[in-house]
Amino acid sequence: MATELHYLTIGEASGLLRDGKLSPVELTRAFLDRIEALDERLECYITVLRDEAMAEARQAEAEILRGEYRGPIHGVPIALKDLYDTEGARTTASSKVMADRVPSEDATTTARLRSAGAVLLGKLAMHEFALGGPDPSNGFPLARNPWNLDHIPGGSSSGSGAGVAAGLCMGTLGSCTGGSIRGPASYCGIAGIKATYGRVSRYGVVPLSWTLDHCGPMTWTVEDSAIMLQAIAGHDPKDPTTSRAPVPDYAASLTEDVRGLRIGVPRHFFFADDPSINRDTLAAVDGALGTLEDMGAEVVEVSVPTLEHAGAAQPVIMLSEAFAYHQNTLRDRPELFGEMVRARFRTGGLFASSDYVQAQRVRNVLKREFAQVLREVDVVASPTMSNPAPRFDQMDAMTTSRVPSFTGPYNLTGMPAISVPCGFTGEGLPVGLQIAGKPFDEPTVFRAAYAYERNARLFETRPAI
Amino acid sequence: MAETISMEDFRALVNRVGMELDDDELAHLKPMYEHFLGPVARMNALDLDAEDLAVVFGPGWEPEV
Repeated sequence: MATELHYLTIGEASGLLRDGKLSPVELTRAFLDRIEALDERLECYITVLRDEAMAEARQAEAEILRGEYRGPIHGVPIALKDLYDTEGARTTASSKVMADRVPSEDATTTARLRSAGAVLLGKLAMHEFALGGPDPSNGFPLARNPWNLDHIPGGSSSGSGAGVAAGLCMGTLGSCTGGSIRGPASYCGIAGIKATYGRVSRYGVVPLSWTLDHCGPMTWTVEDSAIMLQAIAGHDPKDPTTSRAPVPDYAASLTEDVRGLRIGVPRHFFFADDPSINRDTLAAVDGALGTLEDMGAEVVEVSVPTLEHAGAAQPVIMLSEAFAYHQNTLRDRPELFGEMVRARFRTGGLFASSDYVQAQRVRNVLKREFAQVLREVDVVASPTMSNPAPRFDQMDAMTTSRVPSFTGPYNLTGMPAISVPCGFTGEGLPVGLQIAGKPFDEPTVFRAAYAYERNARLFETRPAI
Repeated sequence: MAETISMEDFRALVNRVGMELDDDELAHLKPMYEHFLGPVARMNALDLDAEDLAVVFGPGWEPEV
């Protein structure tokens, strides 16, 4: 167990909080002090809710002392990507378009975390409207990667990835339209899961692309992601896309046993002979697959031919839907957008309607091909990202579009997918292993990721900040 | 498959969407649009079956009781 309070995991802290061995007030103060000490350099937070967090911590402490313990998030200091609505607290989506927006109601996920007793430290930096990139022209904080401050932490949940890795919060919720949870999780060496489409409510979350947007937790460990997902998953009458499927007990899936688990690897796509894919990344992921085999899993090669077109279908859908949402502001007040997101949104207006329809049809074919593969295997594994985190000076509006997206396919299919750390490049930048599963089978995804994580023990290494 | 578009055609495309961009903005946006031309053309060339549906509309209505 970590000796510094800010490096405790949620799983470690919750037992101490429950037993009265750790005070929520003491824990929250430790995080607020760390934010004050480090956030000027890391730029993870858009808004720090110091007074509110201390009040929530005091309330949690009083409740626990009265024997009203609510569960493993009670008294745990978390933060939220700044597109989750928070009643009475500014929610900007990191854009001047929403710079002064103060919601009158919590997002359903925010409300569920509050109901579970979480302490909200503040609102985290992100790429503008979950798309723009680290864009100094929009005037919001640009989170930095704690493993190397010259590198981006990924996006769009940039402050979430960096904040968890640096010990500036114990967990957070990211949002993901093409990889915005798993990407920063991979770049920052943390765990992050995009749950199945329909598993988590999106009510009160600023949209980017209605048919691709997903929500999910980002945490230091897989166990912590399971704890947070448990608190937010389930049907929401305010979000008609949520499923009524019962929510399983995710903690029960956290065993270190993967014997008999069948892992499919579409090597033709994720390990293609493509010079734009980083070799250190592939070596780290191959090593992780070898570890899982040694632990008793069976790794088999599978084929998903339509993956080849995912890199066209995903951006066509995402940018077309985003343009539809933002088009009036783009025409009337374009100066409110940062340069990166403005250009990308405009691109979305230039696709033909037939492009959009064809992309949705291709998406359906991709879903069918994965369904076939998932009759033969339990999960599908790959690198999370084709490359480690780029440097800030390498970034423009299209940097991420020039390399293959390994995360976007699962936004198209809606399958659950997690990133768990599996090594480092020669430069010392984290590499993530992506594990995707059958719809609503987050337990098997957690099982595979947890077993690997416990074996590899990379969670014992924190960035030197 | 063409992976470029003339500036004249691009300007017409942008105007059709109702965006009023100056020459610098057009020059900045054009390569970003062209980046997608090849992949989107290859995607559109896929010969899908009639039963490969696109978006399925589920109105969510229940019968009146």
